[in-house]
Amino acid sequence: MTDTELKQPPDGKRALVSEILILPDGRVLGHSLTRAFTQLLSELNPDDPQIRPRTPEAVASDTTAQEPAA
Amino acid sequence: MIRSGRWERRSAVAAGRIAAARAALADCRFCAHDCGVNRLAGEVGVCRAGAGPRVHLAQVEVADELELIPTFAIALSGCDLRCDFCITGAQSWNPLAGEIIPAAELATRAEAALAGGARTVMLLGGEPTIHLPFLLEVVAALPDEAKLVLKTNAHGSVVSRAFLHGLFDVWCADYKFGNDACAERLARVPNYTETVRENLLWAARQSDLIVRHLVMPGHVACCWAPVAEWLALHLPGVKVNLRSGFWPAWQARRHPELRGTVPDGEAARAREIAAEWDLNLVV
Repeated sequence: MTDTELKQPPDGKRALVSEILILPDGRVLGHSLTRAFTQLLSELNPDDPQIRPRTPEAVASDTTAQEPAA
Repeated sequence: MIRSGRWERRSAVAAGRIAAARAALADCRFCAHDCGVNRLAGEVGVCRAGAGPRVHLAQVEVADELELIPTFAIALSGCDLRCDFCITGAQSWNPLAGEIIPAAELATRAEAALAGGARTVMLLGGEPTIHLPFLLEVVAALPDEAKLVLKTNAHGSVVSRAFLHGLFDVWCADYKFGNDACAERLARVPNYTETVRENLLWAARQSDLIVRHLVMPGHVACCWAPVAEWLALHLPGVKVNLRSGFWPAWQARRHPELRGTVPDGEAARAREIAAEWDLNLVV
């Protein structure tokens, strides 16, 4: 990342920032992954073992499972 | 959101430490560099940080350990290490990167994230402990039941540990180098091993601890192997996140062995070492 400022679009909402590195063999390394970007990566490679448990669906399901009983 | 219930008055404890932490900036010894500079008067030490921090990221992320995500990550610019391969080098080496955001605003955004499904709030950098007064302000403004994570390079001092005691549910700490020579060469930090080990042992006594090691190409034998051995012998059962996603960021190209990613064979050998020491790996 070369931009040292938090990006702020004209509509006043803050942009989310993720970084990826795509390797020549097709592997994708990621940093600061947001939920939206993880969803995108998951759609590109649904079998990625690092990404799959971090998709919004997987995380939501895991969070629900760990909530204490009422 | 997990309600730990450990620190019922955490916010009050943090608030009560803010004034002393601010005063300590006049003779800053928050990290093991022990510079002793007066940051309130504009002097700077190794980290180059002034009296207040800037924020280079504040958003919900899912790249961290599964037990912590989604996390509302608050990344403060500036760091006391100079890792040539730093993935956020532009922000970590420059404490003026990013923008000034008041602690109360960050806390409000964190609360919104928690209400929206985030499980934790993570303070990170750069290195957050160099900004201890602000760190305390953020903790003081957050709800007591929020699960708080401190992501740190484990190069803090006994001074910073005193201010941080009891405030974070989880310490997520790097153990980057397996020997002082690699630490000196790649991060310009002296006496690394003793400092990190002291901090990890302390953190394990007073909070949940996750130790991270980023496998670097060409450094499995000299760095990961001794780290793995020490963790097995001195912190048996501690959670270890062995990360193999190194990429040649920032100024990594200064070092020939860091100009690429981790070869498959080295990543496999790193996992073998973890298995040989029966480490408690987490992802």
